[in-house]
Amino acid sequence: MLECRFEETEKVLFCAFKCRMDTINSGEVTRIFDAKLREIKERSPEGLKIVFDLKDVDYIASAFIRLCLIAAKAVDRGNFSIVNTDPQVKKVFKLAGLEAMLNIS
Amino acid sequence: MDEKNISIKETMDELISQAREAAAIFSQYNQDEVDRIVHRAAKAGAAKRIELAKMAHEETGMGVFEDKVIKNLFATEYIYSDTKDIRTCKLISDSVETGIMEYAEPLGIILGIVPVTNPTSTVMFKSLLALKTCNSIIFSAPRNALKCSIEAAKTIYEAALEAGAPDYCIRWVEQPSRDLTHALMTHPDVALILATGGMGLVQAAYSSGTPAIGVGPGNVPVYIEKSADIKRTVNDIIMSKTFDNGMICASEQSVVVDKDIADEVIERFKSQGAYFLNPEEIAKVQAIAIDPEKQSMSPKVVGQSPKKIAALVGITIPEDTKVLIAPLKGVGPEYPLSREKLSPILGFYVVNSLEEGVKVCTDIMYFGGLGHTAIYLFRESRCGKEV
Repeated sequence: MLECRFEETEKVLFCAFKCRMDTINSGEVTRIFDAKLREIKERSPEGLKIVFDLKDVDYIASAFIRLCLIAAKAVDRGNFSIVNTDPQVKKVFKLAGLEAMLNIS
Repeated sequence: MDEKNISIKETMDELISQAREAAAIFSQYNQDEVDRIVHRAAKAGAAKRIELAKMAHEETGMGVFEDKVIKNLFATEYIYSDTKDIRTCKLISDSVETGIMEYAEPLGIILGIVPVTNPTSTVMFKSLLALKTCNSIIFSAPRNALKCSIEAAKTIYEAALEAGAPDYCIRWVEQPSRDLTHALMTHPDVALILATGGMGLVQAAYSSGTPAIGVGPGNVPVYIEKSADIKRTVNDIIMSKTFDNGMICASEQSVVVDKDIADEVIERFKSQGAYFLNPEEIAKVQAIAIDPEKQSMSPKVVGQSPKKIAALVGITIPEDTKVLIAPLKGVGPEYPLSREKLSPILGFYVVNSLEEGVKVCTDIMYFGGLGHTAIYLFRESRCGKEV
């Protein structure tokens, strides 16, 4: 079941996911995320930071990688980061050649 | 960089990036998930065996449609059955006795080179191997087998996707070129090349710097020792040599027979539909079958029927001929038909002893078939030990 939490401050969109980020869940999250992002950008377009918390995510699908890339491209370079990444999931980003680009810890 | 090179780079970057992402996602799968994917993919390939065989036969103009159906079935159903109980993901063995645990780790991206002789079966076989081991695979097929190869890859890919495989786990080159294949072979993100094809291609794979498993040319001798069961050996050789018009690289290219049984073997071959060429006919056949410049078999005869070959070279043979046999006196460039032919043409040698038989077979293998296959047929086991 999809569980995600979005918290926003003036300049930060924090997204915590608590489920298997397979194709279906990632698709649903992407829709929610897109709406949030549009809303925030309309309010204050400059200097936004996005943080994905993957503490409770142990699987990601291609669709979730694409969501991460969308998020990274939506903000200035260095303003997107992924935190609390499970080692197995971190390895997936590394194998996909995205570890450095997505600022993963 | 000129336009052509930019296009090659763009195509390659896209394929590699997709395949890399798929391999990364695939590394998370467990054995049950993988086995379910392979099962569904193999079933889909087997279900499409007839359509794919028809496509391959029509597109390449080589081989026998019915035999390609069997090849497709072998490459899917048999491979699935043979590998279904093998563990390939994460923890694959845990020995209480030794305390050793073995883990399987995917390689990443595999490059699959497809031969024109067995396009659809090779694509499905390599795809299943890649899926079973959680790797992604990119196929590069020859232009004259492109459509059927892509269709085979799509068939497996779509079934795998439905069963939960990662997007892009099977990719293919839409517009193949030598430069693109070379660029893929040498790409640092390609972890392994599965190369099936001619000598040049397999050599290129081995010298690319990327680990490679190559299936190159063979020049397979079959030695019929005097104790052999003649009826059975002749039957087996004809069956093997006529399968898909002799395009399997492990099929016999030359028959070496002990003098004591030579007459009987010749008669048996004739009674089973073999046509022995006379010296004039040999000259005509070798002029067409072997390219003198490249010193290798000509695509004109590969996978063609004896009837078509006879028409091509201008000789008359009986309507029901299954195999053309060329009695030869030696092995080497001066005897072009002692090479690999991948068609229903066999070289034929008569030898005086076991030692001479082994020597002729060794010479044949050293003439373009080293490291591939040799066959020795006998009934008395001491002969096997001596060899």
